[in-house]
Amino acid sequence: MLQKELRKLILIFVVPPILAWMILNIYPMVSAFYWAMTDYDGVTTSSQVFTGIENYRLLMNDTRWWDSMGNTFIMGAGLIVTILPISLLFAVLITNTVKGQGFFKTFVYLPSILPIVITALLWVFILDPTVGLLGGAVDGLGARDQLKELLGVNNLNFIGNPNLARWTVIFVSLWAAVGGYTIYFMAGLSRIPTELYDAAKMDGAQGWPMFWQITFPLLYPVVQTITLLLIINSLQNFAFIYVLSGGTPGSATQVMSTYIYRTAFTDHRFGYATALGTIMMMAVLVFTVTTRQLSRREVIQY
Amino acid sequence: MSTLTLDSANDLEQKRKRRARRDRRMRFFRSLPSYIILGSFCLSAVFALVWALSVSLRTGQDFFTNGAWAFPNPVTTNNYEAAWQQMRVGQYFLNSVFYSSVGTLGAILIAAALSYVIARVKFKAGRFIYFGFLFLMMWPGWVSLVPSYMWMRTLGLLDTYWVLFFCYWLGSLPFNCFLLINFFETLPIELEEAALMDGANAWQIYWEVMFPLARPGVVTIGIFTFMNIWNDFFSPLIYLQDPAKYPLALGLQLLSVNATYGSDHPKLFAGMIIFIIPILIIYFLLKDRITEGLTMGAIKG
Repeated sequence: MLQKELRKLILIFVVPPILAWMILNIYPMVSAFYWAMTDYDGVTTSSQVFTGIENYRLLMNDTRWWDSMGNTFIMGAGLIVTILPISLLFAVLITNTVKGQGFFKTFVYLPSILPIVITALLWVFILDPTVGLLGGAVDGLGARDQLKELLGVNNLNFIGNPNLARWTVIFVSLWAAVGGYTIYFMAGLSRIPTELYDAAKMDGAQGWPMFWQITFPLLYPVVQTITLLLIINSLQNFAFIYVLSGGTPGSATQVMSTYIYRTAFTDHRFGYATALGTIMMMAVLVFTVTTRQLSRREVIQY
Repeated sequence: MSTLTLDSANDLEQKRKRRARRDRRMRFFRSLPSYIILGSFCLSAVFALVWALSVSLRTGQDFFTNGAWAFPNPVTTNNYEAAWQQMRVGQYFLNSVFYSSVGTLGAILIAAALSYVIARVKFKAGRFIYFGFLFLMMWPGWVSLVPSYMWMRTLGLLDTYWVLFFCYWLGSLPFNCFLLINFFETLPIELEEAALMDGANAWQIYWEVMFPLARPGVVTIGIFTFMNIWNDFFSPLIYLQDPAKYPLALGLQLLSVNATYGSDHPKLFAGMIIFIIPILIIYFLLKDRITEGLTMGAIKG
């Protein structure tokens, strides 16, 4: 009865959005594989010719593309290896503090709710060597030369200097994202039954052993999920790098996404950019699936 | 004899109190390192925002001659006026409000209706859509960047409001439906049966009985959708050309490119503060709901 009545809703509740979805999202996704095999420049129809795998042959020799891919993986890896332990540490610390849990939770997550554009601009100005906070602090301490020497660079332009730019992007991304992952870890930690800790305490466990023997194994599925999320997010990071450095200096922070954007909308090579997009899709999928397989392990029930 | 026991009882009480105090102090000292680590991170966030606020209250000349660390002298609110009127921040702000409100409203109405049918009506396509959405949540969307742009151009949607609304209504659908389907499935089916007995039709069952019950879930996805649209930089960058249609995220980026060459930093900062104030208000009012909603999606998925 109820089923029969509710069935009437399919026509108005399901058909229009799914149809719109097919037309506006799925169709371009599928047509990508056609456009990737054309030389289309985005304007002239005469360039809209089928060139087969020509674009793929071109990209094999496109060193800037391979550099972008390398940067994506280097910066992605840099972010992942720093963010996982730090957010886990933050989560453990917040969970174990006696007072102020709510306070810390609120403010640790604060950078993550700021719009990406704001975070990027804020840090551009904080790190600015002349008008920024950092430049001011360094000059105030009279330590400009020492810091240059320490970092082995000849200017303190953190975003404009090729040797520093990558680190800066990793650092700022870390600052912006760590709060969100801390919240995920806290949710994971709160699901571990406290009886397990009580039992372990009875057996004399404490501190590190307790963490490695109980917390970490039970948290493993959460770690796994978070790692996947991180990979997906960090490989497709765009707005942040676009605003922070625009892929400069040179191509020190150029990643796959900014390079594709540039190829399409600055160089007007639509066909080629689409071909690059298909490669990026493959790279992300392969990387995600591999990580999933490698990190697979027996889930402990409790 | 009796005084003695009283004394020792008193003593015991004293000792217990002292120990409790010592324990508390011990615990405090033991958590001191964590207070320092967490505190310095939290401080960096608060400090960055307070600094941005202070710069927005300074004159351009003051900022350049006295450096980034100086207090505003004189304090001025002219930057806000100038940003709002001369630098188009007012227009960007109204655009952002328009996109975020219409975008969110549409997104939650579409997602709730679709989720309800998929959660309650048994039909083959329903399962298919559910798993399709799960799959699409992981799908690297970059592959269709250029084809989407060209397709929207063919449809004549470039540089219109519609292209943004389609992006927001449809783009948020997989994630929102995923959460709402799970939510609808937890609601008892008896209410719908009772409503049917009372002569309600399908629309009334959904809109008058089930939609109000789903309000907690709908509000949660509403908050997230609103914040995502408010912060969105990508869709307007790709699909809009006319700066008069820009939302704050894109408008401020444009201003920042120009401000690098002028003495407009304080005005730009005023624009940035205008941009984040709504987000901060929403966050501090609804922080528990936001952090809860965040984990709802992530850990299950």
